[in-house]
Amino acid sequence: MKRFIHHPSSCILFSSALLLAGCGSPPGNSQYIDPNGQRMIVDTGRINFQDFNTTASDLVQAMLNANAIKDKHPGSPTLVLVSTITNETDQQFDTDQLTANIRSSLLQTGRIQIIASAASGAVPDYILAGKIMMDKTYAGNINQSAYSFDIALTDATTSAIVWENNHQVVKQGKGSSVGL
Amino acid sequence: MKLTFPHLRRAAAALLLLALAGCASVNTVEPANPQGVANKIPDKRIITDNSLNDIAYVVEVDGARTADGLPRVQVMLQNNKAAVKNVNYRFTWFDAQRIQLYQEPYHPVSIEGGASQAIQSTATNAQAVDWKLELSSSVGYMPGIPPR
Repeated sequence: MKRFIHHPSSCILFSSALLLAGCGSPPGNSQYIDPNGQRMIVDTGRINFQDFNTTASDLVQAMLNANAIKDKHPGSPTLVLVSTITNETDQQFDTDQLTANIRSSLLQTGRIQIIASAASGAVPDYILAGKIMMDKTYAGNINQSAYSFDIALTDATTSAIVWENNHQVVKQGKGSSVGL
Repeated sequence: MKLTFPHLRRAAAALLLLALAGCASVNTVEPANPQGVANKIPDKRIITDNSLNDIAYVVEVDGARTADGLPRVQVMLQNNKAAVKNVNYRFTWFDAQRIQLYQEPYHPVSIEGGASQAIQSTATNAQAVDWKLELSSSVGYMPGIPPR
């Protein structure tokens, strides 16, 4: 043992083995992972699936905390139209990934009904709409992408914006990696 | 090249310098007599990672309700290290029968050295009564290279 400790190469090998023996194993063949977990692939240069999940969760919670959606019809649900969230970034993705999550979370509250579309004939009490913007910059070989989710809730009767939130997702790195 | 202890000492010193270069702790000021009154919630903790408990130590757990009566929780985390640290967290909400209603996605949070940071969750389901918070070290790794 004494010889092992006093041999520098052995020390380095032992330390390396300790470092590499992490928790869990890296992906080899295909496998299922938890979509709400920590091992999703993170791209610095684009919005990932998990970004839509966390953004929708944070936006709906912020809206509920602000008590932005009032009971317009006591005893019956308030009607909300989740309108278009426009993609003003240079990337192609379907913003329905965000709006579907928002609709689902709002419905869970039990006091809101979602209107499928403006053409349905139903008159909404509130309209939720917004846009996604991005800013890219770099320093040396480190890239940074900032995504801004600007969402506003409008009272359909008065056309007043009763709530607005700007949720930001900022990523920094050299490329893609696995995990938050 | 044969590695000797002087080499190792120099390598260790270089590593220490690199580690210290990332340290930037935070000084804070707040009212000595805050006007707000927190509704503190007694908590039960299961610590499986002591180093994580040091960089995201739970200082206080407060409960509240939205104007609509939905439960809210706020957990104050403290980074007891001098360097900025990233941790991930997620809340899970349960109904009155302790059945899991839904689980939020993991959120990343950066806590500056010596600073505290509040994390919050509001139940989006009217049946939610209880919650659980999971804290985890950042696990990011490159494909093909074992995670830390």
